[in-house]
Amino acid sequence: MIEVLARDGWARRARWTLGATDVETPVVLYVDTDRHPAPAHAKALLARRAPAGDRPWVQDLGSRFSPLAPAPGAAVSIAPELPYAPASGADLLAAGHAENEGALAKGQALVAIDPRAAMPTDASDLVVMGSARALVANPYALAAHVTTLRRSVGAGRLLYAPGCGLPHEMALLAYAGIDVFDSSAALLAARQGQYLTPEGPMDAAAVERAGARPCRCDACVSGATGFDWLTSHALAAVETERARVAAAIEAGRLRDLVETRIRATPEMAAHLRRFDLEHHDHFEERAPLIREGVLAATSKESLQRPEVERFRRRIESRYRKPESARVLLLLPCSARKPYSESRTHRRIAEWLERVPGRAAVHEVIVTSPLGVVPRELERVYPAAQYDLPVTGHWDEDERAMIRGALDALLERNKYDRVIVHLDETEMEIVAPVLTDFEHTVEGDPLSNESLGALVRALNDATADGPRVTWRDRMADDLAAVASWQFGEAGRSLAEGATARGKTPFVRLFDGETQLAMLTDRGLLSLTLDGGRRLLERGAYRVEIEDFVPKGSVFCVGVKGADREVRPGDEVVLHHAGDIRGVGRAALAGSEMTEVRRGVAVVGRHHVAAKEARK
Amino acid sequence: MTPEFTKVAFYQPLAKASREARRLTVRDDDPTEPSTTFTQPDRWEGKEVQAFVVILRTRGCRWALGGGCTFCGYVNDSFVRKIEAKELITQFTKALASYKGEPILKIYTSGSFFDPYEVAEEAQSAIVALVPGSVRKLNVEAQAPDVTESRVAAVAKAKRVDLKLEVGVGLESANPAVARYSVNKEFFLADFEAAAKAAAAHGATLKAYTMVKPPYLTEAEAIEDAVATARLAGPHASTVSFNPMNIQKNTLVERLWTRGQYRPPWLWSVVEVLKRAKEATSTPVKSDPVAGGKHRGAHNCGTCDDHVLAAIQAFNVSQDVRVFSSLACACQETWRDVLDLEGFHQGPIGELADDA
Repeated sequence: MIEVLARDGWARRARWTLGATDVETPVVLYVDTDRHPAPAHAKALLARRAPAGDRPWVQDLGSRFSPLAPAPGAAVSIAPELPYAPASGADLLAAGHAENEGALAKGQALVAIDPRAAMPTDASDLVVMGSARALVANPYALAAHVTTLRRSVGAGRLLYAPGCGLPHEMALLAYAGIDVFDSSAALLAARQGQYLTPEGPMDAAAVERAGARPCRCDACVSGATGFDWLTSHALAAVETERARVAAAIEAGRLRDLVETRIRATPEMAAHLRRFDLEHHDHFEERAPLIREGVLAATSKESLQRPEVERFRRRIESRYRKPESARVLLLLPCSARKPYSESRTHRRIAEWLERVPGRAAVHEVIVTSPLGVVPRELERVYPAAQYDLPVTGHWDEDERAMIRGALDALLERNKYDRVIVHLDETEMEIVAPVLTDFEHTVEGDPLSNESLGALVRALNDATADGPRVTWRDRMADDLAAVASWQFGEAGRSLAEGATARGKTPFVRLFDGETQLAMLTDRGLLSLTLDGGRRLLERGAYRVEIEDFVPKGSVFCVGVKGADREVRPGDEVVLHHAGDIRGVGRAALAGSEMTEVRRGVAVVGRHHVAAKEARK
Repeated sequence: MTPEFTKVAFYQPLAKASREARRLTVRDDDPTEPSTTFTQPDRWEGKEVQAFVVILRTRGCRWALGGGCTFCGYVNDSFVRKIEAKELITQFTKALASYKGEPILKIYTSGSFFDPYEVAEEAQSAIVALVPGSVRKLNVEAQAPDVTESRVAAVAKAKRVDLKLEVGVGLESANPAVARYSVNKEFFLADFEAAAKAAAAHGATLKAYTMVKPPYLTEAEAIEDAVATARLAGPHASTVSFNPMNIQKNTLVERLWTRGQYRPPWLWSVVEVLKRAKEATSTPVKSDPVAGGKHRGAHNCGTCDDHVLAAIQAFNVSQDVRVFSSLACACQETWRDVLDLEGFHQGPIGELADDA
């Protein structure tokens, strides 16, 4: 039985009932053999025969070529498998997987060799990823295999990557959804003369020559030498990194750790690039909508984070600009977030007060790594929280990304005029995708001359055309936010609605009925009436059993959920099309029906009991 | 003891994978030219002698043409089209032009000498009848199900009465699970026993070829499997010859190996197998590791390989395990770790980082 304690994308911390003991994942199974006794710090063991002591242990029953007898006392047994390796070909893997499944005794852990196959229901909640070591070593194969397998296994089970657990690889594998590791690779690496660190293996001879050991583990401090030293150090390094990964998951910062750890080997970096470029949808599906803290975009990989890519893709595919905004104004980004609180943007805002028609102006910030950020979305994660090294140098990837984002924005949204208030370098980045625009910067964008030119240009651009009231514009801004947040369904949420209140606490009304409120996180939270509109549009729904939720809805009570629901999303709760409440999703919609324990939706409003039809 | 799947011929998905790894092409070489001839050292009546080896190019092993054993690439050399009996006889006649009186003659085809599909019965008898008078022992190779009383009888009748006949049979493993799920063998230990009986009835003996480390077995499993095979097959064989895996072209094992999902056995494993097999059977045991010390063959760390190979050759002659007692290298500890830990990987371990 497992209970998820914390999630970060596909990575989890979970409580795993292993025999009579609970252990917390991510966990390392420490090999225990006559040759390699498990270290004292091991919480769970991996062995072929019963270990001494009372620590929980997983038994390896060998392969189908020489199966071992199950030993009493093992918390889980790994079934004797046909260990067909990936290069055997898809057909043999599929057939072998079926053989393995057919031979599985109840409660045994299946060695999954075909990532596409469904997992048997009466097996252990531990699933073993066959050939994991060979896959991790292969920069071409791991990403497709592990993403497919993780989905087949389902969130209700733990995934174990046998032969994996080197300090530098644990963060990346946890990110891919691996819950369980073992110490065998670390032992073999120690034998190869490797001194393991989270940044990758070092040559132990070089560490010795340096005269001081860069670690405070018992073995390094004690002055042990040779293989004893390297082994004890390796096992300590594995446990230290395991704890580090667990803490990163708890903090919601695993991706930061992954981006540092993948520097260890080209294979690790290749895996992450494939995750981002070839399996974005898979990772985006479980990535939360909102995170705490700063997103430090300090590496090339940061530009491809699921949440960053999601922001860009939603601008390209979902977002509709505020309808009444006719003049596009491109502005530079600022280090301080949200932008409007920066010195740069405050100064621009002061000058824009000289533009009477500015309610028709759409301010859009040009930035890396998000591309373009419309002003009304500046408080949305990660727009409000990213930080990156500012040098004034834009590399080709960033230039192309910004041009692509702007091009997509203009493809879907029509403006009468485009005014570019960017410095010369940035203007040259965007110019190729603009057919006609006015550049209002001469040298410094914040000089009186430049800002004066901006005001003149905007006054000229807004002189003609219908007058736009702030009241209308506010409603349009909320509609734009809704389009990013809920897609097409969001646009109908705001259709014909009006806005009240003062930024940023604006509320959306239909006549006298409140539909939603803008929160300090820049997104809308729903009222029951707002939820009804989404329900009618068939979006962001979570179907529950026949009850009225008076607080949180647990996974056992969920019958189904729309695939577009991300952790942190606003959702509408219903039973058979009958609204029951609104709330915030704690999990991705796809996960709600995969796990049986824990909160699925944190309720906010619910219908009165009598309103719920029989 | 024997699972019921011994009744089923083979495991179709593995046969298919083995076949897909092959690139069978019809050859248009001269069908009357033998593939090659060469001589190699061997033992005869306690003395070191030269053996004359003839490799006939046939249409190919029937089993391999349909998929065949997962590691065998001999079919790469075959015609993959029908070869007439008289053409094979001509091949043998031409081969004999290089014969210089060696007491042992080995006639190898790429498959089974006793299979009429590969070597017509007329050719089997004619070739045996052509064996020169100075040859004392004739070796051929065959699949066990082809070694029937009637075929052995026909060949025995055609040969000189005092010519000893030894039939090499690639048993590979006595474990039916290995035969079925790893090797894709078409026969089992019981067939080997039956073949031995058929051969004995006409004064011929069987040599048991045993694979060391067929695919998907761990290093430790491979050792146990080879020793167990020697114990079970030994009583029915004149010699148990261990073949440590060598990576042959266009085979399933080559596919695994090139992708880091297979490592040929350690030479330490071969030594271990010989030491333990010597205990397990009174039949002589030996091993000639093809490509020994090379990447595609059984190898250690690169430093000690030549010493270990020399010890194996010495053992082949002396049958004395003491030749191994002086061997030592730091890589033995790595090998022992592999034996201890590889099974926990639930999949292939490949080559280790600095083990090349």
